Amino acid sequence: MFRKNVIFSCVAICLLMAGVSSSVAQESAMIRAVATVLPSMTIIGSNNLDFDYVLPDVRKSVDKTAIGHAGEWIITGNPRAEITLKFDLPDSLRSVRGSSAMKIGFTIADASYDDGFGAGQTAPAGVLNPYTISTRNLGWDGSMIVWLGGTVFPTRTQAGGTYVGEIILTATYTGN
Amino acid sequence: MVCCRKLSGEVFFIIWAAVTLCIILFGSGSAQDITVNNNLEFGPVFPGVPKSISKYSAGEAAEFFITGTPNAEITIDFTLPTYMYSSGSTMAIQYSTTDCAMDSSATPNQSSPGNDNLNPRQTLTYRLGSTGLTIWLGATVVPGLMQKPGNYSATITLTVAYTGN
Repeated sequence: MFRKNVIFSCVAICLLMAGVSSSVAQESAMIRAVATVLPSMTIIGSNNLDFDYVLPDVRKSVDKTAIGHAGEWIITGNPRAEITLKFDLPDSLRSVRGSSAMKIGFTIADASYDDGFGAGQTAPAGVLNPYTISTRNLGWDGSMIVWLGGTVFPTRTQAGGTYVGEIILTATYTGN
Repeated sequence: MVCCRKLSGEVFFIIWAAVTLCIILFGSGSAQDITVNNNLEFGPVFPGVPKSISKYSAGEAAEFFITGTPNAEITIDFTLPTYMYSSGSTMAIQYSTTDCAMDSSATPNQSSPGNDNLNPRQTLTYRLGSTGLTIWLGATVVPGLMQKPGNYSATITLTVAYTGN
């Protein structure tokens, strides 16, 4: 009887070891996926492109350095982040009172920007071609100011009144 | 007294035989062990700009090292999160059907792994090498345009099991 108990105990030990062995036949491990999301970008139109009074048949230009007249946007985001800048430019302004239109044009040097490496609107960091998508970096403080000039071409019979058009600047992170 | 001494000798022999048998039967195969060599590190992520980490990217791709019985066949299953979290905010994380790779050679090569372009969403079956098996995983995060800034994280679990083959 005692010998049977001993054998039974040994078999139990074997089964226990087998159980331990099978319990480690599966193994799991965990890792973390980690990411740091940077601040979103904001862009504010801070000044309209203002041609003021325009005479029929006399074209009028506003230079990008003209404070208070050139179009101006302020961009804020992550410091030194690379962004693209894209202008959507109208080819004409529309009378707010009727259906009259007045041509507007831009040159390839009509836009500029300052990312903190220039001296402001009159001596910006660089020139932008408003007809192409430009890639630049935000400043060390995460900001950039963009300016835009342009020229309107009223006709000899241009109807009097106020003319407006929409100019859109789109800034997008490149991820770099 | 004589009887007891005789029985003790038998008992000792039976226990010795049983333990030896157990070692022969169950001790010959090593259990697996998984070592995490690297987390899946996305680093800085810009709102609105999806960011992918390649499985080939050393120091950024997730890396596991599995050891166990040489040449044993194992199954490999990932538990993959759909979102990463940061104090109440979520950010989508995605995996392509080729985001996993593994190498069972003695000198695993992350840039040119022995078994490449594997689907981490499926159960993978492979054999351990003589020294083990290294597994890499890449992924893509998709932040929203107005994704809340902050540190996001999620848990990825890898489970391996012997098939018996």
